Amino acid sequence: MPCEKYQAALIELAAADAEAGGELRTHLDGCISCRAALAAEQALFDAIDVGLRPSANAELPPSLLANVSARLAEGSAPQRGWLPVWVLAAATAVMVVGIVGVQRGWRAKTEQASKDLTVLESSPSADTPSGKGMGAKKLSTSSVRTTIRRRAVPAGVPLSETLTSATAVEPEVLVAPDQELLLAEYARALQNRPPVNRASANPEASLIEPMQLGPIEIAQLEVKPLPDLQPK
Amino acid sequence: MQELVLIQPRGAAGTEWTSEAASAAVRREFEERLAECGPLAYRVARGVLRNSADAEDVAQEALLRAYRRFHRLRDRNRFRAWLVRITFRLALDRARSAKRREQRETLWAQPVPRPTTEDLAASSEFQAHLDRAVEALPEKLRLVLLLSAMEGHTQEEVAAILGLPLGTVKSRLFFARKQLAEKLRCHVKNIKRR
Repeated sequence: MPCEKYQAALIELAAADAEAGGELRTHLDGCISCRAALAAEQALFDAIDVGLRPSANAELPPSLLANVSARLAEGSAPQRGWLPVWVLAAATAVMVVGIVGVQRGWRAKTEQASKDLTVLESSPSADTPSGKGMGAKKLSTSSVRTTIRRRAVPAGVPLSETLTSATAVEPEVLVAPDQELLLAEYARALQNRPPVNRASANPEASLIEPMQLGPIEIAQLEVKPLPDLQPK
Repeated sequence: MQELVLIQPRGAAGTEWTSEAASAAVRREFEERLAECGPLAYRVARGVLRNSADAEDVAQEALLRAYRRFHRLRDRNRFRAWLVRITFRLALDRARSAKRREQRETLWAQPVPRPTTEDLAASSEFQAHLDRAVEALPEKLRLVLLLSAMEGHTQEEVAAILGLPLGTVKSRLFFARKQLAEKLRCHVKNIKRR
């Protein structure tokens, strides 16, 4: 059993594979047990070194270099001129951002153009029922845009034409056959009346006299079965 | 009637020939380096894996990777340092995956029979303990220990290979040996008692 005071120093001396000096040397000269402990430690470290040597100095198998040469001959050329991965990643990111930016710009432009077109073509005026001759009064209602965009447009017909014809169509009214003339006269009177300045004119003067209608005559109804629907 | 002749533009042929000659020169240079550094790669792998077949596979992989990067590793010292590091790293990966596989298989297999013969050679028992103790060392200590154990490698050379100061190599070697001794001391006593 070595002296407790020198035990750690003996291990470190053996681990460093060094020579003892100074006080330790003096102690070792006079202490048999510490000399034995040091010898045991040195034997342990020698055993470690010897144990490490075989695997650290193993013979090279002859097949290794031959295999590597064969693989090289197969044509795995050294890589030269390839860009680092981070450069490729950065380039890809820039490209994606660019594409998205251009796409957004284009979409905004298209939406603006569609909005302008819609407003110009579809906003009717109270004075001009057909919508012709109106000024470039802009309506910013999104409902108008939505309605027109959803309408089915026949192929080959420009959008502006479609919108114009849609807004210029006269309303159709269902009337009895003998009242057709009366309604036509009323409509003509309505169209021929002078334009009214609503802000300054007298509201009573601008009114049209109420239409005089005679009693409605209803002919006696005759019920006949349709020829196609006769029972066999 | 005029005949048509297939010709190859002079410039393209010249370029092709030049690139072929250049790649052949690179290969020759690499094969020279291979003869010099092949054993180093194999020994590093063998030191980690303690298995010749696995070590050969790993060394081969490391050398092929080195060839792919050879244009950056023309400098001799840089090449050795890179090769040692990549081999060590590949060998560690291989050892870890082998250990995982072994653990998986052990769960399903029958328990391994323990050696019952008392005449088990003390040296081989010590070697087994040593291998386990080396495996448990931190990587940076382990690599220095391994390179120092190779014949012909002085501590200065190990420092040059790893790009470390000589003092760092010395201290890592000291701590590595000390940790091994601490783990093996009790086994030495047991072996001696038998």
